[in-house]
Amino acid sequence: MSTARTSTADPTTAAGIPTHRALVREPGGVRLRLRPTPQPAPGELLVATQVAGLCGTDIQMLRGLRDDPAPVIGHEGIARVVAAGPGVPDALRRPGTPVVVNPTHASDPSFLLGHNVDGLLQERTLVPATAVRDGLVVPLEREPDAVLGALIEPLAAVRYALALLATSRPRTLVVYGEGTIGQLAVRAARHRLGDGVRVLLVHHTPAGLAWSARRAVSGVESTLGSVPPLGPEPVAALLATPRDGTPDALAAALRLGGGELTVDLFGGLPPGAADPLLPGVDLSAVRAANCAGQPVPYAFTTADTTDGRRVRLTGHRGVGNHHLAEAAAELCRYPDTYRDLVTHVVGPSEAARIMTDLSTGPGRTVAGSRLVKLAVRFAPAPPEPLESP
Amino acid sequence: MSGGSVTAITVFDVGGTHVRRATWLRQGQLRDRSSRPSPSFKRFPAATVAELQDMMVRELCEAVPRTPEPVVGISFGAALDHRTGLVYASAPLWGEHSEPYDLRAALTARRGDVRWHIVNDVTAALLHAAAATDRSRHRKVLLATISSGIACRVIDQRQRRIPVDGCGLQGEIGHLPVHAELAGRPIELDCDCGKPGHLAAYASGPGIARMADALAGREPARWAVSGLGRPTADGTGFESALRRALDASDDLAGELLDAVTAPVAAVLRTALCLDPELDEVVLTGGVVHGLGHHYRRALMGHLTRQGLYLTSERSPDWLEQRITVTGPGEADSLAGAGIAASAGGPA
Repeated sequence: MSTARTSTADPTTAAGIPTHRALVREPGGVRLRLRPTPQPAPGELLVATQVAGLCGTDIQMLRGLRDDPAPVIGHEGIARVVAAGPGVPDALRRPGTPVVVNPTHASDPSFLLGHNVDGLLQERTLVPATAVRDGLVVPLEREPDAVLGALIEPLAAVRYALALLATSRPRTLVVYGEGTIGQLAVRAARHRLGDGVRVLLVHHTPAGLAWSARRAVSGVESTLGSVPPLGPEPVAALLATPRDGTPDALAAALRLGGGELTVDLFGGLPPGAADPLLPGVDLSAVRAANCAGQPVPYAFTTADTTDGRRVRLTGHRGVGNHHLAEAAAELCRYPDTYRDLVTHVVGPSEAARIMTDLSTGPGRTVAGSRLVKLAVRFAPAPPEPLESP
Repeated sequence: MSGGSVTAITVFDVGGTHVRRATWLRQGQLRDRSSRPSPSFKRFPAATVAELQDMMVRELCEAVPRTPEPVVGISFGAALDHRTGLVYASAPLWGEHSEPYDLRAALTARRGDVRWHIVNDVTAALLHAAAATDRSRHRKVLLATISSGIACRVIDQRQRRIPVDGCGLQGEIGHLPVHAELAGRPIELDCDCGKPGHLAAYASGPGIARMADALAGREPARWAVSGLGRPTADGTGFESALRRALDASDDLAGELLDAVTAPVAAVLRTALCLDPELDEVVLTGGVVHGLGHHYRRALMGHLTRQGLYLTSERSPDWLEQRITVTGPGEADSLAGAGIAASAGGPA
């Protein structure tokens, strides 16, 4: 069985074991370390990260707010195939093939890229057999511009949310959250919901509002905290909030005016979260009902609030493979719509410093400017096939 | 030494392909599971055995939190003496190299602050299975794992003791000589260890695949039209083809399963005959989990057709009540490593 390998000058230890650089979480911060590079076992794939993003969940992990044990995080980005173990499908065997790895396995909890399996913030990542076998490695026919690769996975999640919300044919979309997901959502909304939809972005800090004001998106209304009166047509609310901010955003969304209301609990929830207007509704179960693109049709929970309003509730974990492919295609087609969200582009050494700073402080200011999306670029190493004995 | 005051223990399950890690809580829960590739000779072909061993020690030590008096349980997939932490050999990790390796000493040299408890992976799986409430009143429990290799262990529940021989070993049944038949004729195949006629040569995962190849050679016409022959010719993996063929009641797949379970039944029958205190035989491992109820049905078929002299006639349910096939997670080496560490290891 042939195994493709790079024959470029990978760094090696004195003993000749190939090594690669990895951003490793350690006590006190993130360090750039050399790690031995494994060859893939049967069913596994070794990939070289081209660009990887850092998301809000990653920052929570850096700050010790989550228990995810992987020393190397990162689940957003583009990589290229370096080597394939025996049994990997032909479509993924060709060295250099650009791929996106779906970080969430719908049925195998042992694979959650960058959470319990080492992620993409390193020069070489081993993709386990369970992920390869179940189709989580998605080859890309076209790659977006270099650093936009860091936006594929979050944009895929946004497209998933908009697909859920589109089922109610909303004429108004209210997005709560001024981070990457909120900003992606208001930029993607018209592609998915139609040109006639009214789009509002609700910020929770003046700094976030000021950032949006400097990068105004055509047709998007930005507000701080409150929402103006809405018409009688159907309304959709997307809660693109950090986990601890979701209950407040839900409370605000349930008090929106307008017609029929559909709410996507995008941002996750703290344990035991509930809303007094929705007694008896298990919000975590609502969000967990859709995972990685399944089921089709999507799952919704319809509930009556204590003040007599009927709402459709939904949410999701992970994304489906098709969401990733569609997000990559959208970034190829409309690169300028999204480019300004990649606010910081750095190499691995600078990334280690930034991640260490983020791990120790609550802010999102990096190098004097507001961080939306950090893209970490790893030097490309074009692989060449090599027949193994 | 016991970890009496410890509430959370770091546990590892070191296999030939992956090193699994988790936190084991005293209540019996596993949290924060993660997995990394094993530093094996197949993954790092340029590395010497000493370098592979050093990589293993470094990885294990770095994955233990810097907390006061940390305690670690390791389930290690190799022949080892849990009394001393001496690993005799690990073909999946270090190839044919068979110099004993003092793993505990190497770990202690790097992290002297940690209390290391090292047990064989089958021992660990048995400790977890034996801890189930419904087995608390058993006298003895035998656990057999049928996967890429085959081995078993017996625990005496009354003293919580896993007896071992002078080398610290017990239950290496995968390398016992057995008699096997296929398509009505005797067959002899080589084991991965190089010797002919061992149980693992026929009944392990790779052994079953070799038996399937032999069956295709002996019965080419039947094979070609069977639920095994057609899918594998179309590129379907053998393991999934076998399961699907059994689900579809394919005759040839049933014959293959009968052939590969017969020597397993013979070994278990002998164990039950020689030790009447065995109150339960628990089967686990990738082959068992993959084939599920089909595996138990084939095994019980052999034991029903030929059980224990007199006992099976006078008490027809005696064997039926003693054979259990587990599902995934019911005999978990990670949990067993936690049990071993919290109790100071098996006696």
